[in-house]
Amino acid sequence: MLTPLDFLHDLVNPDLRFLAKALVVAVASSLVCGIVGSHVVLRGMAFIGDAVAHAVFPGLAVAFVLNGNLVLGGAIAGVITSVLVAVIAQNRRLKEDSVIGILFAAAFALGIVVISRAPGYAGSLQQFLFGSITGIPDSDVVTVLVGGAAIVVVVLLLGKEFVAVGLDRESARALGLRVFALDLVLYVLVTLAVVLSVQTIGNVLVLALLVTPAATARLLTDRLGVMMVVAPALGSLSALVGLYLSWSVDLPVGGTIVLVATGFFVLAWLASPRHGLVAKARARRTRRVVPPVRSAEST
Amino acid sequence: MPDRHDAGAPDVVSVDGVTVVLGGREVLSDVTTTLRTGEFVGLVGPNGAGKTTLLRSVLGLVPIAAGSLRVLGAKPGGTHGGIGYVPQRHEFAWDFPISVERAVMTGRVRQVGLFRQPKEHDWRVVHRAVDRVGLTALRDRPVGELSGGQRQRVLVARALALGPAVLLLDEPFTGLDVPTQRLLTELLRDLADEGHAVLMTTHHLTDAVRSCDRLLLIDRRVLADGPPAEVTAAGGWQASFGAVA
Repeated sequence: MLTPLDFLHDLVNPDLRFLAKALVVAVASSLVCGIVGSHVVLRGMAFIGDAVAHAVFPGLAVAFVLNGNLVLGGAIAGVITSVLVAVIAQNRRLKEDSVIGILFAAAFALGIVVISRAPGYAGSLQQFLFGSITGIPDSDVVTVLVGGAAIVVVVLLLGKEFVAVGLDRESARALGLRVFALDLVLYVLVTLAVVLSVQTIGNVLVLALLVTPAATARLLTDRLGVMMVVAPALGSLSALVGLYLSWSVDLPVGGTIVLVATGFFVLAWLASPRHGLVAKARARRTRRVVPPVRSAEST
Repeated sequence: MPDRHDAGAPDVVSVDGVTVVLGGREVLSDVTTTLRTGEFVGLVGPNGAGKTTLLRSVLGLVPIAAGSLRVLGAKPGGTHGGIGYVPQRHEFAWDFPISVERAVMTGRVRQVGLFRQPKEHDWRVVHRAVDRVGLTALRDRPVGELSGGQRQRVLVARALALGPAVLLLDEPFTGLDVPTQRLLTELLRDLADEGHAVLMTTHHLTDAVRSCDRLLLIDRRVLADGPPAEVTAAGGWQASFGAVA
């Protein structure tokens, strides 16, 4: 196994430039996913994240077959599918999750059919589904950095509107917020974050980048502001550690990154200072009586 | 409507022959009433009577099939800042990682404005609202740690943060114990006395009879509208609630 120092040497080795590019793309996309994912987790829309991840697949496949820009292709397919979900879900007879279930499976199926027309079908399919650290063109590195920055800016600019809608949709409507438009923007942001991340982490596992670091951060804090910093930090750390392990032990990169992120989650679940299993057990054992909040009722 | 109560106080909400049709069903039919500054009105009626729909029409959230509805002289939905809405407690995501004061600030999201952060003035208004409902000591607390009564107060403070002329509350007493209900009733009474027009839907008839200036009894149409003593004596009361009251 390589030491972290060896890893650093490899990163700056001009013959291994793809490794440095993979690191930049993996860390940047995890950071973006952590920030967008915080809203995904707080809204309880992990399922939508999963749907979007599948929905970008036909776009990637078409772009791949036509030798076009993968990020652009995926973004177009994802946005079309999310808009369709939002529109069809307005039908009161169908719950949103059914609509999503239909559309994302259909999109994924379409992607598989399209990519089967490409030469070298099995290899490219595997690369899309499970990610890869080789073959990232320079233009994609730029796209990920610029696109990622744009996504983060929009999330921060619309942060308080997303929070108001996430807290209470009906009151947000009563205040005159355009709830439907804000939902749409959030879906599109999720789509873009997914597309940026698909290259390294793969289509199947990208959901983990959205959900796992944000859920871990939620266990660690009751402050939204802190959560929005901790989630991307944990995501990028997972990407860094995951890529290092993947490179030095020769493991698949997407799976390794996700397992590292999951490790952080389990750690937080056990040891979070307030909400963790250990803290709760200790509180029970020492019978530490938390002053009841109710006592301040009359203040 | 005859000027029985608070004659001279301005109408802040006037509902004139309003009919609402939802999914082909007439949910409200020819409803006429007014709401004046300083009034504390209880909106009562059996389940499915259209109480929540009436609140939502005043908010401009449901289309009106016939009649007219004016809030501060304008169409509903147009006077953001005129109405403070307090939804049922379960509408709010209490598991959200947000403090009391920041939750209250979301009531001013439109006043703060798109792409902007709250200014000193916004915080002053929010802190005044938090103080008004008696939660100043808890304003940094995550909302998830609050009791039912405190949560209800957070929602009232969020509505007050708009500086509204009208407060609309949907079943604020549901799930609260009796002492907490009393405290909340006192708060709403005081807010009305301070010049808000307060309209709440409620199932707690005895409390409504005791504290409200006026009861509006509806069952798709208005069955009775007047001081509690008059309304409880009217025929519709018995028909709607039987032995409950």
